[in-house]
Amino acid sequence: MEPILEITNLRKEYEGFTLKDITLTLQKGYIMGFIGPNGAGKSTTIKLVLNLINRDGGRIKVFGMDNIKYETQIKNRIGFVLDENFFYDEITVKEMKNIIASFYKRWDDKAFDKYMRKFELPYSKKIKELSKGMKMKFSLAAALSHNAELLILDEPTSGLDPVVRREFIDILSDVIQDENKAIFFSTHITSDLDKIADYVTFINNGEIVFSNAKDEILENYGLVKGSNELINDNNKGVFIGLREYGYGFEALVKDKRQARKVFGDKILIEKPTLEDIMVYYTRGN
Amino acid sequence: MLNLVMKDIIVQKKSIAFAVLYIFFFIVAFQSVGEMTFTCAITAFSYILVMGGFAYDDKNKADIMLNSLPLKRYNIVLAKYISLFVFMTLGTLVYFILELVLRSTGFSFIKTYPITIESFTGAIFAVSIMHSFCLPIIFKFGYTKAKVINFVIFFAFFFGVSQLINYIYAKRNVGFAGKAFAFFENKPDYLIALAIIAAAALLLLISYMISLRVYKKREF
Repeated sequence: MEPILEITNLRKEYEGFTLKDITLTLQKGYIMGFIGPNGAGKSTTIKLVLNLINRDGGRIKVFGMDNIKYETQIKNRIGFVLDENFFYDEITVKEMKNIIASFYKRWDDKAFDKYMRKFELPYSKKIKELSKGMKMKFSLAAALSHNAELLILDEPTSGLDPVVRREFIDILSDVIQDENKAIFFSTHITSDLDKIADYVTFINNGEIVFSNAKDEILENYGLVKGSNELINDNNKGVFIGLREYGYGFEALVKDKRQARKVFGDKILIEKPTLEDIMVYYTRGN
Repeated sequence: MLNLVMKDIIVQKKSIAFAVLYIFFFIVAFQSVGEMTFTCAITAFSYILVMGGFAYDDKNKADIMLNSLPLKRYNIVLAKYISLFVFMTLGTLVYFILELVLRSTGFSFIKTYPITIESFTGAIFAVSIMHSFCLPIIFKFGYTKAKVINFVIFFAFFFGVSQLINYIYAKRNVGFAGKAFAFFENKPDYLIALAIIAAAALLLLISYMISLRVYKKREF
């Protein structure tokens, strides 16, 4: 089956930051979380997919088509929610909706209306009168109302309160019930992904650290705890990141079975969260 | 493409009302300009609304949203050039109606000037030439950064063009200008008007191609 999103050796060079030939694949029917600290290259990648910036190398295929050559066809089938909203403050929700709707071939006014009611959004209010959460919901409503098969979300939950964030996540899990769709979801709030992501791609400093099934990641990685005497220069290598405290150490390992072999029963191994993994990778030793 | 033009109109509802008042102000206040009142009014009207469209795009960072929608960059660039003519047509209609109303209601102390073929051709030329310079700069740098440069162009245009015309007029019997004058002297008005419109169209075409080139390279 053809991947819905296929990024190969994608490169973008800035002064002081380079997206280093990243490769990732997303299949239909799945949600991929795209995590990494601020400045890791998440937004750069998404902007490249949307052709908002020019790439320096590599290839992006969406629905099997080159994202620049078939830009309009592809974008008709993509729904996007960006980290900020770029709507016209001066006009009403309804006017903004009409503007957006006019660009999509398969706009579905009924679907939009359904989401407007579900999100309790007022048509008559001006965009500038909406709260950040409401703008985000409006953006999501628009993204979901033109039969998009791929949703691209760039940090949609940052700055939202926990209640709205939960609502947002619930809607995404509804959307993905349709197995012809896929969601590519960048965030640095990794707890958003705990419930819904099938795959997690972790980017750090412009490089993909891993791109795997979430369950597999959480199954293999381990958060190791033990006393400081256990650590020496020979076995330090198994750790991705290590923190030493007065009472003992805590470290992240990629393969908890290997860690068990090295340290035996003297250590405690816990299941890490995605956040643990991200933090330890980013901070290193 | 027309939906992008519509977007500029919807976003600027209030500015359009203001710009209509502006035309009224021009008709009433610029009594000494004579027949060229229409040319001046339309140039200003179009400029206000085209720049206004850019200003709203820039303030709301709408380029990011627009370029994420199913649009090609050339759609966005071409729409701005089309909006020029839409606003010009709108302005012409408004002028036509206002002038007619003022004339027929008999406010004898206000002298009004109906649209003539000269003033209309002049308007097309003035609008085209001014925006041909301004638009590529905005597409290259964005509205805010381009504002200063365009401000200079706007005034250079208003003062410069009259100087240029005087200069050319003074040299009407010599060199290239002389030949051109001789060529057009005995030609009918409509032919001259066509030549001017053709020149304006060519200028706009070149300007569009430059705008497209620079806008394609822009990153958001």
